[in-house]
Amino acid sequence: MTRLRVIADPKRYGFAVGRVRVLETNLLGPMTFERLLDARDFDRQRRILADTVYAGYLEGASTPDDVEQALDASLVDLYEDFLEHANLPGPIVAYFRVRHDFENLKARLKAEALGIPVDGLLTPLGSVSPEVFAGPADRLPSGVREAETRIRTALADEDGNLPPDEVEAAVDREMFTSLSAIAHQSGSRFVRHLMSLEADLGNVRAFVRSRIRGVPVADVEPALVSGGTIRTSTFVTLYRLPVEEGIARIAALPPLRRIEPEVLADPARLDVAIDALVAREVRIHRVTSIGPDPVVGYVLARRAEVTALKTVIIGTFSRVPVERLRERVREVA
Amino acid sequence: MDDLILGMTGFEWAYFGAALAAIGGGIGSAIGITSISNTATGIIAEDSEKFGKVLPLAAMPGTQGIYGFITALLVFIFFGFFGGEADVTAHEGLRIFFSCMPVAFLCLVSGIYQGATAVGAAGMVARRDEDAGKALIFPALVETYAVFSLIVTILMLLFIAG
Repeated sequence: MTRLRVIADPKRYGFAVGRVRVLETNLLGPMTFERLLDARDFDRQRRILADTVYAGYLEGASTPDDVEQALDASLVDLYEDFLEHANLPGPIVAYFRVRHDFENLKARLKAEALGIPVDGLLTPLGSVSPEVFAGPADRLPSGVREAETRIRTALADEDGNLPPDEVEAAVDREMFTSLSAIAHQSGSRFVRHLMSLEADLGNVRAFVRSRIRGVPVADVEPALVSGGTIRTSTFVTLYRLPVEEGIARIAALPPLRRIEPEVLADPARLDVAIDALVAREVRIHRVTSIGPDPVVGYVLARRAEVTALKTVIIGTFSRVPVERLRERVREVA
Repeated sequence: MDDLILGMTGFEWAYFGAALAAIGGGIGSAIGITSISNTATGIIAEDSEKFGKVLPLAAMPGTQGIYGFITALLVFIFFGFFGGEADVTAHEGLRIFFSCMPVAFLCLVSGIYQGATAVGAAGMVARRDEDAGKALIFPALVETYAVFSLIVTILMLLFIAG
């Protein structure tokens, strides 16, 4: 099978990989991000981005919300014009888009629990239009609809009311279960690896934050998701140890060996370290000469780029100190 | 002329060898060119100025098909198949058949792998125009073994014809 890949992969992915090889030369480098950070106002930042793919999207933007919508629109186009036509197996495309369906489900259920309108909370990046999530449940994609039913059964009280603070963890669990199944169907070792890494890193985030805040183990357990290389039972066992020891033991586990224990113990630095770890994994797989990996790697790199751009531009709007922004995007860009 | 090996005359063995050389080389080239052409068209779709730089890479796996064609032609020329005076015993025919095998197999495999190597090389060209010259070298290294197979086949055929 591996030998046949030398014939099958170029036939299937050759065109998309060729496009990626040119498109990835247009990804924004660290120098551009340095200039964006130094610009300190949106007009100057927009001028710096004038020769990039984002120029057209940011043209009419003037507020942080506009910027967010404009950059999301660039991702929607990336998904629709590139990802959907890259001849990738369906589950790989789903891997990118289904997570946004769950983001919309989270918004739908939280809005319902809090009694606020869901419009404006929905992202257009999912596999179906955001309007679907504002409508009746029977119009939702089947996987999401089933997840919603399970969440309602588990969380709703006798009157059908949902507890807002438990919705997030419940939707995340459903999302990881769904993404884990999609990653296994994808046939891509990279996507499977990425999926399990995401689950591990999500659990580490929950573990560290909760442990430092002193949240009881019973409240943390439901927030842990399956699908990672580290069992949720391991997190629960380590959670009972003293803070430093528990975090040091987590840092020694294989997926996290590149992160120093003191970084892991600092929630402010943890997010940056986790993003950097994922960015490193993506970079490694992008250099594969042919197959789905360079295409997946490019889409992930663009997604990370959009996140970094949002951080810098919206951070500039909000007058966040440059050094904090620089630290946030340094490793990812 | 009436002797047979595995039910085939010398003439048939020679034809079989020539056909396999042409088929192996042709398949190798077709697959190799398809591989690199898919990537090359993706590159050109995003940047049409790269056309001239990726074209030599796309053409490179085509040589294996030519070697197969040359081998088949040499069998026909050396053993008088064109004049209709071919007089080949079964043992000679079998030797001609085996002489064609280096090209048949090596050109099949090297054509496919040269295409795969060219895909990586095209990625280099897509990133940096200045690397176009260097990018040609790696697929060219795969070509060496196709050339060796042609030389071996020609020497073997010359030995039988002489």
